[in-house]
Amino acid sequence: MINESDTPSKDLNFDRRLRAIAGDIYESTEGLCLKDSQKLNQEDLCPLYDSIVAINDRYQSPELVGRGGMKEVYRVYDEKTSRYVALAKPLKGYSKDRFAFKTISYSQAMAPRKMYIKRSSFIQI
Amino acid sequence: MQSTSDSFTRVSLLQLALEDSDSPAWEELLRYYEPFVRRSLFHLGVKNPEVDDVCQQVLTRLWQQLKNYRRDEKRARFRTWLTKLIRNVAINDFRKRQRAKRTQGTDAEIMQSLAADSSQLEQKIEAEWQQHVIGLAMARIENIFTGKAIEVFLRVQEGESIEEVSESLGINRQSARVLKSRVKKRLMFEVIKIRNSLEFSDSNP
Repeated sequence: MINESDTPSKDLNFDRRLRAIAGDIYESTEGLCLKDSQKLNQEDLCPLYDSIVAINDRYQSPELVGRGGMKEVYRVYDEKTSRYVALAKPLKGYSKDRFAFKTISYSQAMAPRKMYIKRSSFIQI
Repeated sequence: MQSTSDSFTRVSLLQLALEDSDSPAWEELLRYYEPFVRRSLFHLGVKNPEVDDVCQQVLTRLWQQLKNYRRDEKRARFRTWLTKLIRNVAINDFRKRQRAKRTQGTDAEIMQSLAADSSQLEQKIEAEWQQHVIGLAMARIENIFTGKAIEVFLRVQEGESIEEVSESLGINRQSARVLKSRVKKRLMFEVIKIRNSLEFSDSNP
């Protein structure tokens, strides 16, 4: 519904910024109908869940914190849980199976702290 | 008579106005088209003293000719048709004023150059319409979102990364991501509703 209060913003800088992105936003609604808009609004009910599910590249901003004989340890930001965790990666040539075995052993020994294998790395929380 | 406010969600404002030329939908429709027509005229080079008059002429022509547009089986896209209507009214008015020697040299040059290149003009008016619709949608969501939400959305749209935005605004990345997503979805939701009310679907006669 169109409301009485609907008027474009009077702030010139805001207006200029809006103009710069208007084409992209407008184009993204091309061919969508009211049913689609209602679906968009439904999705809006779970934005946090949707944004977490949409994360593909979970571990960000790696900082090397140490290197041993078989692995390197990085401090990384976990986008899904919004916190920093330690990520260990085996050095080149090191047996991935041995690495996996150690990860499981550490995980059992260090309970209740969590540790799990992510591809060829393990994450310690 | 059907209340316009009850009908916007089901039937477009344009459709309502078309079905009954005395419908209050017309007033609503013209109110939403007027700023767009004004800005389009401004792009055409129509200056302030004449804009009111020319704008009224355009809106009157829209009111008179909308039925003809819908009856025409070989009609162009709605905004192509509207662009031509705006341009024709502006050029006719300009010629009248030229005959009355009330135009200045620069105005004449602008009008003549734009009149000569209709595709350029159509692009400008199309961009103007898109900006008008986004402006209306943003005006609606400004009342829904507070604080940094819209700023986060704008910055990300302008090309800043979530990391940069979250750092400069002092919020965590997850919040920035959520805010951006919320604003974008809500904005698109409003844009679709506005387009449904103010535009004819080009594929459905």
